[in-house]
Amino acid sequence: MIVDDETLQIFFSETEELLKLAEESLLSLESSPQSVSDIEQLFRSVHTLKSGAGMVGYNRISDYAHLVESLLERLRSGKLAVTNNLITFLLDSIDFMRFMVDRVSKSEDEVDPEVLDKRKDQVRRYLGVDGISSSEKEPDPVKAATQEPAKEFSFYKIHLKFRRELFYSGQDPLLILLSLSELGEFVQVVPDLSEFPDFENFSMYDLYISWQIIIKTEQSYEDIEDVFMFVIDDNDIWIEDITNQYREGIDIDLAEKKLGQVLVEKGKITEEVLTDALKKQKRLGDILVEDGRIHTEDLEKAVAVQEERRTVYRKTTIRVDVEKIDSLVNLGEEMGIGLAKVKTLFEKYTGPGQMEISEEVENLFKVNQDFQERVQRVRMFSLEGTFHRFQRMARDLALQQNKQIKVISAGLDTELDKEVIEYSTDPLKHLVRNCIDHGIESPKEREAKGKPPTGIIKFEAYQRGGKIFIEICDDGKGIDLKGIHRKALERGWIEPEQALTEEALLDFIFKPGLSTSSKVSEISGRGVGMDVVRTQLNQIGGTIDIHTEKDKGTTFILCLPLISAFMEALHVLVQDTSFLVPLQTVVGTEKFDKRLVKGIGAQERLYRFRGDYIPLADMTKILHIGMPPTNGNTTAVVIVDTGKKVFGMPVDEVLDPQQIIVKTLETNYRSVKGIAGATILGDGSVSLVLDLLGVEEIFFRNSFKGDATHESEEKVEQG
Amino acid sequence: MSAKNFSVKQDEQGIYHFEGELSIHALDHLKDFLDKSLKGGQEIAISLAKVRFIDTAALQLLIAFKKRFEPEVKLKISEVSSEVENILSLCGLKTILV
Repeated sequence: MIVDDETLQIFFSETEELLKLAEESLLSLESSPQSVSDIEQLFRSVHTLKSGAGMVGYNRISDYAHLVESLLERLRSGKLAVTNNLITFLLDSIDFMRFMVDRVSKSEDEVDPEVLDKRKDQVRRYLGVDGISSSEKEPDPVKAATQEPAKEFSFYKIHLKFRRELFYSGQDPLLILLSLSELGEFVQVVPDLSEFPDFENFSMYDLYISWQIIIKTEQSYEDIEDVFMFVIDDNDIWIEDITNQYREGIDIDLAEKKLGQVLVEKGKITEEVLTDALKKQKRLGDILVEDGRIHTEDLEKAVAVQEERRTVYRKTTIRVDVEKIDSLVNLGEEMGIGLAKVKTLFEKYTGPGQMEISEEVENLFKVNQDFQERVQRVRMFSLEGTFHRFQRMARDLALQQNKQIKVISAGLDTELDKEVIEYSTDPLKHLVRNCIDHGIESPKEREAKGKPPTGIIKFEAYQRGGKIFIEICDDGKGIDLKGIHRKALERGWIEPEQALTEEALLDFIFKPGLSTSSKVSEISGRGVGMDVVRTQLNQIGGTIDIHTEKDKGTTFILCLPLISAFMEALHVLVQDTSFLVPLQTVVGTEKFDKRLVKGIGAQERLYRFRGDYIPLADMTKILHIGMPPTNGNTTAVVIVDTGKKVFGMPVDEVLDPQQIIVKTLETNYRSVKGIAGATILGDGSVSLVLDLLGVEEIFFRNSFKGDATHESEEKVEQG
Repeated sequence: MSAKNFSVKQDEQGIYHFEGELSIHALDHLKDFLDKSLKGGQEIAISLAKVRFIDTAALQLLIAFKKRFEPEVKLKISEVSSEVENILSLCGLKTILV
């Protein structure tokens, strides 16, 4: 079958979305196995995927999806119960479909027919497990879909009007609604605020809201009534069985369709007849105005409000190549630089219209700034996808280790720059692993401590003051501070009598070479330690904090910049070459004092700083620029801490800190060790941004053969 | 301002972040807060992203203030936690409040 590229593109992006949806509903189904809406969503996703795959000719995918759909159909009709095993199997099936889709996207065959057959047999076994006869083994999905659902469901209309003083008896309608929702799916919830008084007469301890609810459920009338056991006597509550109004076999969706549509679908009238009839119909607003019930202005106002609300629903999205956005970002910057030049030129200008011109330029500056910010925002994504992936990962890991966990996430719609998300995903993954490997105890251990057997892992994101915070929190055993102390002693990092704060102890976690776990598990032992987590976060201008309490749990708090490209940097001059030093690594700057320098060997120099001798790194030598270093021009020392080493950089001049956007050199030149990139300053000149991890590597490899700070030489791990 | 299990903090952008449980026990605090901030005639934005639970009484109070002061003075709920989101959709009050 020949399918055009565009259709395929749509298929791929849609399928990705569908698989994600299916996975989400499975995960949420695991925590609430009764959730009808999750089953429905799961079923719809797989069903749509099946049809889509069939349409573009990927028959193996569609065949497999078909079988899975049949399985889901049994789930939907209540013939199969939601069990952990089944969820695991279905998640696995989703992965398998993803695998096939991945293959075809690379123009490979979907899958080996033998493998597919094995997979299909697995699904059939599940289908057979709850005893269907052999003739039913390949159920006709069309038949199944139209006949079975809704059969065993009842619909109840519930009218809830509580007495005003309900709160005084310690009751809350919300809790009643909550228990009711556990019995089935709310088809409709209509709160009634007609009893709500004026503000003056409003008493906050009285209840004014009543409700009307339609619930779709498998439960009996009595079961529903039981929910209201404690309130039914002295409140106005009645339950009505309205299942007949939703007659057997009728799709509930039909209720929401317009009559005309239903008639056309059933073949009773044609599309043309309907359109004609509709033309004759007057709009409600017009009838009301004609009858003199409402003024035209009032009507227009109401329509305008309605329109406004509707546009919110029509909000659509488009997919854009990131490169296109990046080129907009670049253009915005170029404009900014051009404007800065124009501004400098006009500062000297004193001719006619000087005021107006500088005002206009100033204005353009602001517009440009706004423009740049908005373009940056286009690159922002919500954390939802990332969190869902973690949820899945956490679940799988816990299962492997026979631990029970529940994942809670909050702040899913918090938005972050795409690049920041990409860079922080690995560190976050590592932290999630950490929580499950080392934090959450086995159910037995937990029960022995008097905790519930199921551990809780919480992901939470929120924005505060221009930074995004992500918290990963577990209620496990906490970090073993004594263990860290012991290890730090063993490694000679501290003296036995040295008193250390909790914070200082926790900081050792980020030192390379500390592992508090006695055995390296399959999951955590992948060569990435907490030192790399911190380094990676630092690279995008992020930081990490830890709070821990014995047997209460551990919280990792990540603080990330909204946009990665912006960076605060210290502007320095070394022999007329201008450099920018990332500010988060700068410990301080000191006036250069010759008397504090101590030479060792032929070329190396140490500098006394806060009672310690730290090595002095000469940029001229490290980056091979300019003349050999002389003390003559040096006026200051910038002290930096890369997280591994502390060292000083003698500079000729320290200028103001700047907010910069780093451009990598790779695009137009090649990558240079020790240089993270370049940036164009306000006056149009170019300045190099130092990559201190690179500088450190060159410096310590070439001069201080790995022993300046009593640490063994280690490889710098990046990315 | 804080009650048991409930507190309000204002961030640099002026958004009030409610934190904890917004229940009948916190009504006095909530009312004081709304009185002060809304009667000053200023629009306020409240984030419920860190609120784990909100009960009917608290929802009612928010609605009462919204009804009284809007459209002149806006009471905007800028973000909600997933727990609050669930509660709002459960009782059908989402469109009224958010």
